[in-house]
Amino acid sequence: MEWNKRARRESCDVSLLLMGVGFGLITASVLAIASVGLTLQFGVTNFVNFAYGEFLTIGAYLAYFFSAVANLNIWLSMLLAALLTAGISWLINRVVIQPFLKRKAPLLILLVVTIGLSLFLENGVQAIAGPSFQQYVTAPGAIVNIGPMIFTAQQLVIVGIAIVLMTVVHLLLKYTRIGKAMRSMSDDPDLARISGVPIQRVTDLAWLISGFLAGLAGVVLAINVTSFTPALGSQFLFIIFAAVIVGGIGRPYGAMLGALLIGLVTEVSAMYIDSAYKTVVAFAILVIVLLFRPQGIFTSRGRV
Amino acid sequence: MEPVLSVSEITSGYGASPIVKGVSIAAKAASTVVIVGPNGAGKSTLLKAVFGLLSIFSGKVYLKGEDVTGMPPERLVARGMGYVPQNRNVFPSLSVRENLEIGAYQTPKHTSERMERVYLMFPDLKKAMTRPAGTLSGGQRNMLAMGRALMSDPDVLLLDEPTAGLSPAYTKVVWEHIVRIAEIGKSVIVVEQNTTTALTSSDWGYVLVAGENRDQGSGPELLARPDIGKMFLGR
Repeated sequence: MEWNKRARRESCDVSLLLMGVGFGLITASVLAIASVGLTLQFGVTNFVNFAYGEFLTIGAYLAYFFSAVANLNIWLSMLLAALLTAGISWLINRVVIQPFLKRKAPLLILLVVTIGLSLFLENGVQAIAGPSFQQYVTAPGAIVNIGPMIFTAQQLVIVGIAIVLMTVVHLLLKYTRIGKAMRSMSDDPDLARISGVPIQRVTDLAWLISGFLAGLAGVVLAINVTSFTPALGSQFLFIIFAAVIVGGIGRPYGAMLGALLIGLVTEVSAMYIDSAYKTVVAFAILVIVLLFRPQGIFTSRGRV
Repeated sequence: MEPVLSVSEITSGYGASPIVKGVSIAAKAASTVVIVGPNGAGKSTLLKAVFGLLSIFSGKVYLKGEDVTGMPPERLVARGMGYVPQNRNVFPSLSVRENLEIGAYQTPKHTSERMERVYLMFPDLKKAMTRPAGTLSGGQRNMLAMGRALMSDPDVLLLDEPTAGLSPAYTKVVWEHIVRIAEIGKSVIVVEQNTTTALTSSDWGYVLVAGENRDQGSGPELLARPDIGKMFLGR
């Protein structure tokens, strides 16, 4: 009798853990898309874009416009929103960031510029779309049980999108000329220039890809959290930073693994403690990693 | 024979202060030209100015007769000039093979053939082709840097102190490679601290002192000169 109770309790614990892993996989998928975008841009340009969270917000709201106003399918809306966010990201780099880089502005100035940009963009979105909660009109799809893990069809699509995108990023960086050029710029931008790499073109591409991934991440994040405000991206930015830093800043493969680690641990922790502490857990991992391995866990591969 | 590279009275430096003042050099195809001089003579500054890394205040740079003064490095690479810096001259996280591929970025045609030629010249690199460049020794890195510059099939190759920090034995090996690069038709301009080896192995030498042309002549001729010997070799 006692043995039966214990076995039932242990099986319950394992189910809870696996449920947490299921939720963790979804969060990790959203986080991986966003983190790789941020780290790619950092790897090539060597400064952190604090307005990156707002690129997610812009993507989410553009998709809302396409789906709710123009009545397009949510996935098509997501693609269009990501493409437009890529364009906006490129434009912001050319119009706002590049003039400072051309004047050789110090790193601190660039950080202040991107923080200012972040405030401007978030308030801009709020002025246009309003501060109230928005929601995509979309069905989550059928419930899929994989063992004790419960997914909606929509969530499985999100995991699939993340896997496809990570594979594409890997193939781009490893096997294409432009991908290798991005990695060379990440290693040493001066040497890349000396070797004949067209750094302006590569930088433009990094901002385009970063914006595309941010736009996409914004939409899948908004689908995952079901309702969102203009603060969507800025609230998620620090979790993205945690994943990027844990993986080793500027390293896309590290960002992927950092996202997996942060996603899994935060969601599993929410099974046992209050889910309001998820961000605290993410930062606890970050602090531990910074204490023992400040260069990030996954540093055997080069930046970008 | 017309020089492949001709530098005419250029003045250049960092910020507004000139370090190189009215210097002229020229290099013909299939030859090795060495630039020697005491520390602070402006040798490396001269190479950087020629390669578009520093502003040229006055003077001209001609590559195969075309005025390329102040042209950015990526365009110079496409036109046939290569440059190997003294420090940080490889991409440490990229494999040896990927480093070479980056060298062919501006001229991607015939990449495989050129890579085979580089491997033929530097067999050590072929053995290490999948290794990250950051794991190579100092001498191997210098060879990789030269190999990468050769991947764009340049007419002129500028080398900034390719033997700095290397043992005498490796210095000899590097110079053997430099001579071989010249033998395949390239014009190689080398800034070098190791005056004896450099002048012995080169076809022509320029002596720079305080940012100005002091002397020029064939390598052995300069080496035999008592004033040059006194200035560099403590004779």
